[in-house]
Amino acid sequence: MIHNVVASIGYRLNEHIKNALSLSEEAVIISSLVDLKGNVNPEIENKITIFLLNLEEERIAKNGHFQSSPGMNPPTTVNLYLMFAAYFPNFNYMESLRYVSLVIEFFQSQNTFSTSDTPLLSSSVEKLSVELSNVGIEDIGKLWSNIGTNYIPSVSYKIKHIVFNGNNISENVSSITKIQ
Amino acid sequence: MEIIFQKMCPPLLKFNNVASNSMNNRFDYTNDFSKILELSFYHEFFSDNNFVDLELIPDGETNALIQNYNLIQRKKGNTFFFFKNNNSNLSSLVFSGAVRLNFILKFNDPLFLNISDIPFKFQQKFILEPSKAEKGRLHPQTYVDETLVKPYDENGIIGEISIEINQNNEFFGYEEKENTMEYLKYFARFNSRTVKFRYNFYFSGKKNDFGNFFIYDENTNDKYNDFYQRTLENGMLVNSFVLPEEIKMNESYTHKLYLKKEDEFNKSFSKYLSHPLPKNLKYEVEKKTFYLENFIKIN
Repeated sequence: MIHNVVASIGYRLNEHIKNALSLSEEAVIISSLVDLKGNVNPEIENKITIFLLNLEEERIAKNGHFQSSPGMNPPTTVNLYLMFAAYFPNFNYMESLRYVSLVIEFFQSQNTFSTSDTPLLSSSVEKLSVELSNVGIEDIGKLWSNIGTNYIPSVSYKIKHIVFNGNNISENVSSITKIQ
Repeated sequence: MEIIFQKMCPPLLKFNNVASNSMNNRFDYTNDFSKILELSFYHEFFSDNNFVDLELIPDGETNALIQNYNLIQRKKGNTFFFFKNNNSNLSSLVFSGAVRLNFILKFNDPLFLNISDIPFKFQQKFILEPSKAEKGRLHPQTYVDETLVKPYDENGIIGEISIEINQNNEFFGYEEKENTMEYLKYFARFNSRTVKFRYNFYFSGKKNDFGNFFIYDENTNDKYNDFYQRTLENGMLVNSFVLPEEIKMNESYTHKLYLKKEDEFNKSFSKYLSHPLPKNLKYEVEKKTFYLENFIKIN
């Protein structure tokens, strides 16, 4: 599910940047910036790299479903925090700022995603909404040291309400002691 | 069938129950209701075909009857259920004879008129009654259609359902006879409207050269470039494209259309065309066609 959501949004963002800049090569890659040894992935150069920053459970949505489906576990709703980082080597700093601007422009023009407007999105995803996630100036250092690189121009977004619902019925009815 | 549930008491109650010298109390619940009627509604627009967003409202007489007969009405998903209490005295001869139930079917979906294959106007009332063509169906044809529409003074669209039950004292007034009657099942099925997709493209600036653009259908590999210019009601000039295929409206579509550009310098231009939403329905009288519109800005 998560891989499908990230790939679908990445596909639409790639389309947007390629059309805006008249590019023929891909402009977006879904990858981590560095491997466990700290080596920079060469594939990320001159592109927007999307990677997962964090994942959290949406607890408010959980309460609403509790009684509506007896016999079933409530669905798990999660929010994804995705980072969109523009890595342009050789001090091509302005270009990276331009790409980050295009990411912001894309999500400003489209802040919801559904199967009707996102071709790769799984049919089990009803609707996703996106909002910009602010990272405080004091947290940036910690964040990028955890990522394993120096800071590069980037923006993070929160992808809201990815629902995992297997529709499995579990046994939670009272025991029947007698049938007449 | 009578089912008895046993429930263990909480520890506090155990303490108070010294006289009985028992470690727990026992509560017996008897639930003895029988389903007598089931009304289901389907709509081809929805992926699961279940038409959920509606209400079944008994008219005054039926409401009084439901109370007098101690019936229970419940809704689950697209189905309304009616239960009778087997412990009430409904088997008495007093309750014998046919009973007519009349309901108003209220459509709560604000887009019901857009998505349904019915005349495109308000002030409509559908008369739904059991059909002889198929057991349980509340309309003569496969779907509810315009032949069932009757004049309706109020604004909006409603359905009127009239069902007669208990003609042979199956449920009430059967006295001492063995009552093994199956409950009654009725359903109504709505078809979705047939439309054509119309995409309207406009530029963010003044540039309006649409010569090199074409539509690519990924499923069929077809290419279309028959755009035509038209002016919208707000005065905006757009380049429109109508997908030739007639489409039944649905919650989701399998079409994968892209706007592409034949350009020596910009061969990569490709924009996925999202599916039009049911709220963007327009009827053109001259062409007698329903268009589902989508407006797409090209930077």
